Amino acid sequence: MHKEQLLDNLIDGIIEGHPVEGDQPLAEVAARLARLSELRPRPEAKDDARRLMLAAAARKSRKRSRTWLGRKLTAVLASGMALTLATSGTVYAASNSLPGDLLYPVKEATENVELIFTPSGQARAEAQVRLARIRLAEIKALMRRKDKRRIGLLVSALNRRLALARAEGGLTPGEVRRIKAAADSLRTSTKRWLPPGLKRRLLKDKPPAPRLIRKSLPLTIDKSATQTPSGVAPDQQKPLGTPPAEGVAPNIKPAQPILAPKPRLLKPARHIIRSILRRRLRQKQAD
Amino acid sequence: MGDDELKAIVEMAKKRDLGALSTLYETYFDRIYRYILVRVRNVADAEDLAGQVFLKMIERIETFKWPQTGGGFSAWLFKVAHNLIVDWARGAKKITTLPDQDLPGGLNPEAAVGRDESVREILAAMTCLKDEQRQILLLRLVGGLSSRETADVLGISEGNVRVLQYRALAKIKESLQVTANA
Repeated sequence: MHKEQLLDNLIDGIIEGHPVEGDQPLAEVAARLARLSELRPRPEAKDDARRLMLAAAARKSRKRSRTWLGRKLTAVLASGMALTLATSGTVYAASNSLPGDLLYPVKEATENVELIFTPSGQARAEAQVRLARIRLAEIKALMRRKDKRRIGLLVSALNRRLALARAEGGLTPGEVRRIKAAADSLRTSTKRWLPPGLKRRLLKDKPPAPRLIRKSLPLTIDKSATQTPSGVAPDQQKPLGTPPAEGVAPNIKPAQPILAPKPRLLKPARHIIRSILRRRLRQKQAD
Repeated sequence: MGDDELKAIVEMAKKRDLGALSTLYETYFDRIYRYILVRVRNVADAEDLAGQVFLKMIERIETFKWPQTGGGFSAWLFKVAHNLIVDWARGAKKITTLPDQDLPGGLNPEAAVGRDESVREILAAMTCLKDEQRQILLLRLVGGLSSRETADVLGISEGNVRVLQYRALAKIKESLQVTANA
């Protein structure tokens, strides 16, 4: 073993209190130096230092728990207050906003939330009417700005609210008259600059038609149908377009059920259909 | 105290358990005090510094982590003591060598061990050592640290500790022989 390692092992033994064995002069020097481990502190000094240490530890634990709890409480309260203030302040600021403003979505969201908590029936119908009036007021405000695009959106929203109010059964004839009168006055005042389509849509009795392309529904004769109660055979039936005789149920069945409202075809589609019909008519006439 | 037992006590002390803190105090106070006393050569300062070591321990024990290799808690505490002594010496403008005569303000270590001539001679011989060699001998023989813990306190390797302590003891022996012959 290396001499340094050997001496190190001997010193470990000296620290543990084992005597030095054999002729180990360096270990003997180390053993003499190790007698300094007999030094002891004064008991009063040791007790004072212990007391100070424990007091510092107790103080730190109290401070730590209070700070932790205080921080948590403060964070919760502050965030709650901030949320409340922000919400109420935002909602208040949004109440006067118009489409295109930053807070308008907040206004719409608030209205939707209000409707969710309104019980269905008369109360909700009244809420819908109130919202329709708000839309009308917004239209008036936007007209001062001459914002055509957003007025169009508002008109759709207004019609939607009226339709919902009607569906809830809460739109009285008086309400309808009043809202129509307001719309009429708007129409006359904006005669010059509102596009014609928008003016027509303004408070029509039905919501704007969805922009769908739907083919016209051909009527087909159900050849597999049984004989009519009158006993007339299917091949002896009168041609299409002839009103059925009284008491005879027409055995004309549409291919698909007719849905209401009737979809309004786009111009290109109507044009195509008209041209097809004209061509067939010409063919028939030629035949 | 075994390593596992010490680890458990230190973990409890981190949570400010007063019983665990008292146990650590009882285990280490005397050793820390002796080490500081031999280095600063003044009982009052040594008592004050020893108390400060444990106040620092209270402040910093939460950040203590058992190292994968190295000295562990003993080395960490003695490192705190070592740093406090360095700051004290810098502030008091005192040198850490061991003068022969008594200093005003308290007993010196030789007086505390009953004026033991052998200890006195060795302490006198240690003045010729380098600072690092002296610290190794004090940490090993007065503080009771192992080679690994001493290496951790001083930031050197364990092999280096063994070599330095061998050379230090050899030098002290040579100095004592010269004194004896003289």
